Parts: sequence; structure tokens; C-alpha cells
Amino acid sequence: MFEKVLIANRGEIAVRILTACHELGIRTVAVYSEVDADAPHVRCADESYPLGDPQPLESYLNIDKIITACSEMGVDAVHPGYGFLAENPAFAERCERENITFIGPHSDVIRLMGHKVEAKTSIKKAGVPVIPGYHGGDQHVDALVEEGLQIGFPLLIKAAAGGGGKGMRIVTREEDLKEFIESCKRESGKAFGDDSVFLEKYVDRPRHIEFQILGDHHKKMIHLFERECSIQRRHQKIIEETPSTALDSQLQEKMGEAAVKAAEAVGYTNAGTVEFMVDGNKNFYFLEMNTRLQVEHPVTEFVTGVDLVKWQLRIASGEPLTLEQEQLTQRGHAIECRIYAEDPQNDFLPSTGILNQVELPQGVNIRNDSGIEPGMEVTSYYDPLLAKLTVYAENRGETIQKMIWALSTYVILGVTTNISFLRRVLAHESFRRGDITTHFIQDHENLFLEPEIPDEALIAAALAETLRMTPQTVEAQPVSGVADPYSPWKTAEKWSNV
Amino acid sequence: MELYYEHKNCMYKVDVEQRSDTWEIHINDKVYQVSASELKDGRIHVTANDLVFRPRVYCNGQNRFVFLNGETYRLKRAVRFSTTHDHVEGEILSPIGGKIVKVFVGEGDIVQKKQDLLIIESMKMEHRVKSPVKGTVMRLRYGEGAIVDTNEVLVDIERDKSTNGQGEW
Repeated sequence: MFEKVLIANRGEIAVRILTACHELGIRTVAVYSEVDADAPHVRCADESYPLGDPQPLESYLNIDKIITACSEMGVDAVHPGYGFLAENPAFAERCERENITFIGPHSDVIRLMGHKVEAKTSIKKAGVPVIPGYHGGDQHVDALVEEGLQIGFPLLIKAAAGGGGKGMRIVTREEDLKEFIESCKRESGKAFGDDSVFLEKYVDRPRHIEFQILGDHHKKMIHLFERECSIQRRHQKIIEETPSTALDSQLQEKMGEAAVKAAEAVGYTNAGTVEFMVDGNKNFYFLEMNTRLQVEHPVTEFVTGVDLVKWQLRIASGEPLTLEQEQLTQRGHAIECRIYAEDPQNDFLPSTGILNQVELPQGVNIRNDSGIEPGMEVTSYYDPLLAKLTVYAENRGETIQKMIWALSTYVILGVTTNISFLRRVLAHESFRRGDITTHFIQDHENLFLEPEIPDEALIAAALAETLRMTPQTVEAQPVSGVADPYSPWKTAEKWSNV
Repeated sequence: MELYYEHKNCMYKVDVEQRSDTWEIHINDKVYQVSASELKDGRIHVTANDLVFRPRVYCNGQNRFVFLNGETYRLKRAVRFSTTHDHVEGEILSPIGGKIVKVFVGEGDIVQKKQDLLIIESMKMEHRVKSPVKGTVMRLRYGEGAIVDTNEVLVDIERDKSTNGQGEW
């Protein structure tokens, strides 16, 4: 096993990986940009290394800086988490050259799966169904427009190097095609350092169901069942669960086998995810393979009892996978909610600000993966994911009830969050029935109806003014949700007069 | 003391009169006799007439966050009713802090309602700022590459008066 591992990430996932390392007795190194110097993931690690400038390209996406950190801190291995460099083959290759174990698959596999064309060709060859589209190398805008016209509308434009919905566009009208291709290229260039895009037939109202796989360096490959990830906004998942209500045991077995076959076809090692689109007739198509740990891995951990991050570490260090497919079962039901700093009422725009009060739900079978704490500033430099809440119960109905309750005790004051919105999704009749597709949120406008403000809330606000007395400078302040010159967390707890 | 709050584009007036250790609070036609005390966990224990509740409140600048019965309400403290729309008609405000990566229009351009004006990049995502009305671009305050904060004025647009009715802001 490794002696010292560097975690090339931030936020909740860095904390998750750090704790798995510590459990296994591995020393850890955190990296951080200037704005993260005081972040929880830095304090959680045994040692830390500064990356400087907060711009992602100058910090968490900067290969040279991360490699320098690895060699200066004398680590054996680096865990990339998800996002940032997790699916960057140049980074994995550089690690291989520098004799630092990259905790993930081989760089060749990342490159292959990152090139959606070649990925689909390989997967198709293995006998797994794929979706029609253009995945060619001619990336001139005019050529792409031509190909797009051939496939027809509705059409999906995706970042070839992407994941997480960044850069993704749906085109329904011919006149938007060129503009959308250009804008997708700009966004993916910034997010991934590669502006290649691909086009694909757009399946209306599919489900998004993915399979978790684990493969070791001794030719063993297993799957750990599915995750239903259909509840999305802006093409990004916000609620994930397992098992999926869409799969019967036959379909589950078929898709599980396909996932293993797909992974074996490319010589996959470590933890990975094979994503499928499932249409209304239960046809499934290979969508893509994520060559990393997924954000939503906790739901799988709950129902299988397997610690995926610890297995990532063991597999990367060469240990054989001792889990047997036949012994794995799904027990009970798990749901994850992603807690985002964003405003569902305002097109899910990210919200920035200083977190004042943070109180995570506690209770039986409630798991918090969090990288936040009071006093922390949510900046516009990084993804607005604040934390993940995962709950587990005997069956789906009870899990939904537990999640609704847990969300109602979740306090984050200082930025706008999606917590109330998530609660309305879970409470929705269609969601309870398991009647969900990737269009669930667009299809249910009433999710956006916020309750009217009750008098109690106005009384509370008014009491706050008269009790503590916030700085009486309302007139002088610019209308801005951003900077507050008054160190709010200093005054926040001072209640005089009570 | 008269307090004004904005919530979801509605204004609320709360009239507070402090007695020694209680308050009389008027909201619309309702009168509440209120007493309050702070709990150890940071909540306030409030009794208002027959209602008993334990909110959390956080004030940041003009923003007020109230956590109550599982919901978080975000209010804005305002000075008077007249300041509800504190931006001047014609000023397009930035919905988010970030970097302007693309400007589609130039000064003097005629724009249609919902036409894209510019793109702001924040948290690795692009956000399109659209014109709320048909009109003429009078002034572009920033160019591509500029960093802007939330609620900064980005563009001034003079509404096309001939299309009254559909030119609501």
C-alpha cells in the first residue's frame, strides 16, 4: 500500500478521499489555491502545498504545479478526485513518466474514453449498443454544421473532452446551429483545455442510468449495479438513487453485463462508470464512460456496503480485487441530493457569498459529504457544489421520506441554495411514483413555486434588526449580493437585549 | 420603526414598536405581540400572539436570510417602497459575478426583446444576458474580458417607444 498520497482536488471530494486514506493509514497531502488556503480539505490533510493563483488553469488544472507538488512532497501516488485533472490523459501520462501512481485507469484508457469517437467504436465492437452521431476529427465549425444538418434535429452538441454537462447544447432550429457550436467550443476550451465537440441524435425524454464498475490489475472486472441519475438541471445531475425503478432484474443483469463487457473491451482498471441512456421502450445505449470516481458514488456505497475509494487505493497499489460478482447484492435504497449554491428561481444561476450558518442533517443512515463550514466564502472560481447529502433506508418510499425530513433540517445561510427546491422534487407525486426522465425538472413547472413568505419570517427578520442591530447603513450600501465590508460572522452571533 | 423588505419582487412593510422587553409588530392589518430570546444553538425562540417558532436569521449587507420550518427565505432590506426597482429603467444589470467573454451588440444597435446581448462566464458556465425589451443600445459599459460583479450595470438600452405594451421590464 502507498505511504503518502496527494489529493489533486478541493471541496467535498478532497475531504472524502483524505479520510479514506487516513483510514488505511496513508499520509496525505492537500493542494490549495490562494482562496482555499483555509478550506476544510487543507486542514483535514497531514500536509499541504500551495498552488497560488485561484484561476483553475493556474491551480487545480495546472499539471506542472501538481507534479512539482508531488515530487517536492515525496508522494507515491496522486488521487485526482472528479473534475479538474481526473480525466486528463496528459496528466495521467505525466504521472506515469514521473513514477507517481495515478489512482485511476492507464492514460491510454483515459485518452481512448476521452475521445468519444474511438470510445464508441471500441464499445460498439464489444457488442454494446451506441447512439448515432458525428464523432469525427474534423472540428472546423463549417464541417460540424454540415454534419449536424445530416443528423437532423433535435441535435445534441457535447464537449468531446467533457463530462458534467459543461458546454452541452441542444439545437432544435437550424439557424442556431452555428452559434451553439461556437459557444460550446468556447466553454469546453475553458473548462477542459480542449475545444473539440461531438454531435449526436438527441433522444427525447430518456432516463440516464449508469453502472459502477471496478477492475483490478489482475484481469478481474465486476459491476456494483446501477445508479439512476435522471433528475438533472442544465444537464447536470442533482438527485441520484439506487436501485432504479426502471430496471427489472432481467434488464439490470443485461446492462450490468454490457457495462462489464464495455470496460473489459478497453482494458479498464480501477473505479469507473459506464453511462447508458434508456428510452421509453427500455432500449439502452452506451453514452460514455467516466474514467474516475463519480460525484454520486455514495449511493452505491450505501446499498452494496463497499467503500469505493478504499478499493481505488488498493487496486492502484496492485492489490487484487477480492469482491465476487455473485456475492454482491443491493440492500435497501439510497438517494443522494447535491447541495448547490444556486438559485432555482433564477435559472439555477450560481450564487456567491460568505457562508454564515451551516448545520448539516444528522441521524441514522444519513451521510454528509461536505467541504464547507461557517465563515467560508463561496467564490465564482469553482463549481458551486457545496456538499452532498445521502440517505439510506429499507425501501424507496422510506428513503424519500427520510430525505425530505433531512433536507428540512439542513441550514446554509449566506448564499442561495437549492435545498428547498430539492425537497419539492422529492415530494412530487411523479417522483414518488418513480416516473422520472432527464426532463423531469423542465416538465414540472410547479416545482418552481416557492411558498409565499409567512409573517413569521418577516417577524424574524424585523427582530434581527431591532435585537442585534445590523450596521445601519442600508442607504449607503450598493445593491449587491457580493462583498460585505462588515465581517458579518463577527456580528452575527451578537444578540443584545434578549 | 418602519422596516421594508423585498421578497420575490414583492415589498413588505413591517412596523416595529419596542416595549421594554417585548415588541408590537404590525404586518398589513395584523398586530403581533412578540417576545423573543436567543437559544444556545443560535436560533431565536419567538412567541408572537399564539405562534411559537424558532427561526435562524443572518444579515449580510442588505440581505436577510431567514431559516424557518425547513425553508430558507432570502429577503432584501429596502429603504422605502419607492426603491423596489432601484435600478433605473434601461439599465441591464449583471445577474451574476464573472467575466464577460462575448459581447454580441454595439452601441447604436437596435435589439429585439430576448436578443442576446453578451455572455458572462462564471463557475465554468456561460450565462447569456438578454435584452428585456426591444430598443436601442445606448451604452456598453464593459468590453470582452472585463470582470463584473452581481448587479453591476452592463448595458443601457433605450426602449423602443413605438412598441408600448410589450416593452415591459
